[in-house]
Amino acid sequence: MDVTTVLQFGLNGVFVATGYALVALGLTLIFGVLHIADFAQGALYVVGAYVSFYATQAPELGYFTSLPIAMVIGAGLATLNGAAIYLPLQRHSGALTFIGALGVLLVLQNVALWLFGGEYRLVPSPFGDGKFNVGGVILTHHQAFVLAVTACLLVGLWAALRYTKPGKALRAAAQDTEAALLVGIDGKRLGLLAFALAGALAAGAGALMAPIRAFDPHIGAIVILKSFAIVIFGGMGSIPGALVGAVTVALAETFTAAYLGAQFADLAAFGLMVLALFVRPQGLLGRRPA
Amino acid sequence: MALVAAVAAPLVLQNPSHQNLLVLTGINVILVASLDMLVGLSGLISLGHAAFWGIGAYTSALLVMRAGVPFPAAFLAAGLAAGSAGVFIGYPSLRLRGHYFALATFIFGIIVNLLLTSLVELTRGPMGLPGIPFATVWVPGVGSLVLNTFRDKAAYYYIVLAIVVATLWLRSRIMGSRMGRALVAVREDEDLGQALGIDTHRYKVGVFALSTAWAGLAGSLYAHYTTFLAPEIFDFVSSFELFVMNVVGGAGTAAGPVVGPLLLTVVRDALRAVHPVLAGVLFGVFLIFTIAFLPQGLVGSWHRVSARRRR
Amino acid sequence: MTPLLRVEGLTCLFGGFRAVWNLTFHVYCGEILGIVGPNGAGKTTTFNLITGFLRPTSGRIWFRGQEITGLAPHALARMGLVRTFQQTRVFSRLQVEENVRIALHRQEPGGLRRALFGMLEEEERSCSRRVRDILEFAGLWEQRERRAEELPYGDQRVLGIAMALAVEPILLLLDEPLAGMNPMEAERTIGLVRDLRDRGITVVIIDHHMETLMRHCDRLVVLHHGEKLAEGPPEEIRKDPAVLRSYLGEAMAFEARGEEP
Repeated sequence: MDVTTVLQFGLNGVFVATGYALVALGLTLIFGVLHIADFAQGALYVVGAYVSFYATQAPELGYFTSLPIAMVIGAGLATLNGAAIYLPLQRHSGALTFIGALGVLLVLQNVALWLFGGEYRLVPSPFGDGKFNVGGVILTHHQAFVLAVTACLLVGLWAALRYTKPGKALRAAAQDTEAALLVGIDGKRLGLLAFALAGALAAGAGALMAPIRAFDPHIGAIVILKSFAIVIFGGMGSIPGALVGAVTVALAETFTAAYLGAQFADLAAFGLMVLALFVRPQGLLGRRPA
Repeated sequence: MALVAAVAAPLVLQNPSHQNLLVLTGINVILVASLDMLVGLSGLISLGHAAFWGIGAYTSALLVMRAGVPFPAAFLAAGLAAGSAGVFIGYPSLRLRGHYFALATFIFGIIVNLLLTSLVELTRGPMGLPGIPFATVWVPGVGSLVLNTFRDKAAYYYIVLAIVVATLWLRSRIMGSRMGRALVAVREDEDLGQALGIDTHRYKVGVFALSTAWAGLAGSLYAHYTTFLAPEIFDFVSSFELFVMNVVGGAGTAAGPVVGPLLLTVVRDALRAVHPVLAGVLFGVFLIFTIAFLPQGLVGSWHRVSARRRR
Repeated sequence: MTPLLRVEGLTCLFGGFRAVWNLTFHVYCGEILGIVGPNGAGKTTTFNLITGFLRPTSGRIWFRGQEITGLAPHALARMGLVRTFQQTRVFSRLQVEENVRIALHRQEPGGLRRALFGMLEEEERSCSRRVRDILEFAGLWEQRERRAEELPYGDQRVLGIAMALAVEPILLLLDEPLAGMNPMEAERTIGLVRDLRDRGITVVIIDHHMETLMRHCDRLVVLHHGEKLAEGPPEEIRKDPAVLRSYLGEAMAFEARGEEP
């Protein structure tokens, strides 16, 4: 294995990580603030992908506008989902909410199947086949675009969480919900904000990644599972944890696929999750459960 | 009385598709009864039960197909394999509490499913495993009998029914035994149980192994009935459906594991004929509805209502 | 005289917080020992450490001459070290009778044959008798079919103690058994504790009411901020300057020195 190949794998891994990172971020925010594992985000990823599919078919819209549209729709649906289903279910135990979330995912996935049909779709990338070639390592234009957009989103998110009032409240609540509530932060509104943000991120991720691989409604389940594995590994409620987790899991997956075979790649993510569950249940950077 | 109805059923319903439903419902009853020992009796939420069903199915199928093992032995081996997997997975997982345990079972379910898919030389992975031989049993006085389930479903149904009865009997015995009481303690307040001297971890692993072994037996019954296996049959969605059948029927009640699968298998089949996609939506909706309004399931709520009326 | 329970150098740190620090004390056979201290002094933590619900950061514990540091709660219960919980813990959703039946788990014969085919008649009868004995001792026989959560709080407390008794303890640790009781209920509980001692059970009680424990305990251990202030019979504790300084307040300090406040 020469350096170029390793670098190529590494780069692919980082790229895959960005797809997961956005969804994982949303998950960890919701979990930190509301202690809910929101599996329905998987369906929002699917929604985002289909939005970009239909947008590229309509000449007035095109691919680039589909991104903000997807994010808005994602935010809206997620907030609706949160208000209508999760908040009422919250008075039940954690395990039941988890199951409820799974139920919602299955329902939404089936609705998507019904609305969009089960065939695989592929969205053509606005960049066509263009690639960059840096010393033997290849990066397609679209991949570069995704990396750039993700970086912007992450920076924007970081700034918002640091400098805006609701952002700061969100961070505080994600780290320590009780303390935040004591200081007088409105839990319910903050929860809805978390849902909206997560929805936007998930749908945006779906739209961004749509031109990479053919998709159908079932992809939501695998995406959310991987993102969930990332959140468990990196630490539930920890934002840097989600990022570190995403990179780790993605790299693990890529290298497992390279050296052991593609069919074992998925196992890498879940293997890491199992490791975390037994060795350090709160994840790499998560806080100890009360 | 219910037993009479169950025995008479295939004679009344001659239509093969109805008889098919009977067999599948029977298998689901075995699965849900075994799951209920975890969920209803012990309060352990297991979301990967279908994986053990799958382990049993593949074990039995492969043993008969590749190693020429006779059906009854393969049947028992299926239970043993699934039960061993249960011990292996359960021993560490059961040290986790609450939704961490549910999470672990969920993940392990997915991992098992992934393994079934990726170990292609063994299981043929996503291509599926067709041509599983029919079950061959030796009936005294008659000789070797091949249970060709394409031609005659009723005979197979009676075998399934026998196992169903055995399952329900075993379950009720356990619920009334010392072990059952220990598991009730685990469900109600595990710390208190420990303080009273109950080795809760050992009992949890025990019931988990029993429950998964039983699911494995159901797997063997399934494999030699449909003669075709594929990993996606045993995926998370199936685990979820089993869980829904358990909760909707009534976790922890005597009749719940029968009512749940009966109702939902029939309804799901009916809906699939009419509107296939909606059938999937149904389960999710059923679950949310039940959790919100009828947390004790149909049988449990019926008990509560009739108790209140008696007062 | 060798102590029934030996605790030495017991320390429990949560992060940097010293819940219990270098605690050493002994419990002798047949006595009623009180562990006193204000809320947050580390009393319940000590119980949790002794009974295996918490792992100590350092320190060792011996029970009947055997080291028990780090053993699991159920193993300790089997050895005769039984505890109750601070907010009365019983199986609320179950009937009173079922609660006791579960508590008798250790005394009940088990095994596969009995699970499948049931117990012998005489075994059944002896089990029922044991349940009845305990319920009558606790004064709860009439209530046996009610759900535990329906009982008045004082009765639930008694049920909790009765269940602990069912495990046949040699050393019984009671965590705040008198909290929230009116004087009549408290008297009844103290009487129960005396009965237990007369039956040969050593009892350790946690409470934050110094006066109550001084009246009924043979010896006391006073905790403050996780550390031991004093250990000894009530008369000595009453005069101990460290205790007086941090616990009983100025008025009693004057009284001990024989002066007018």
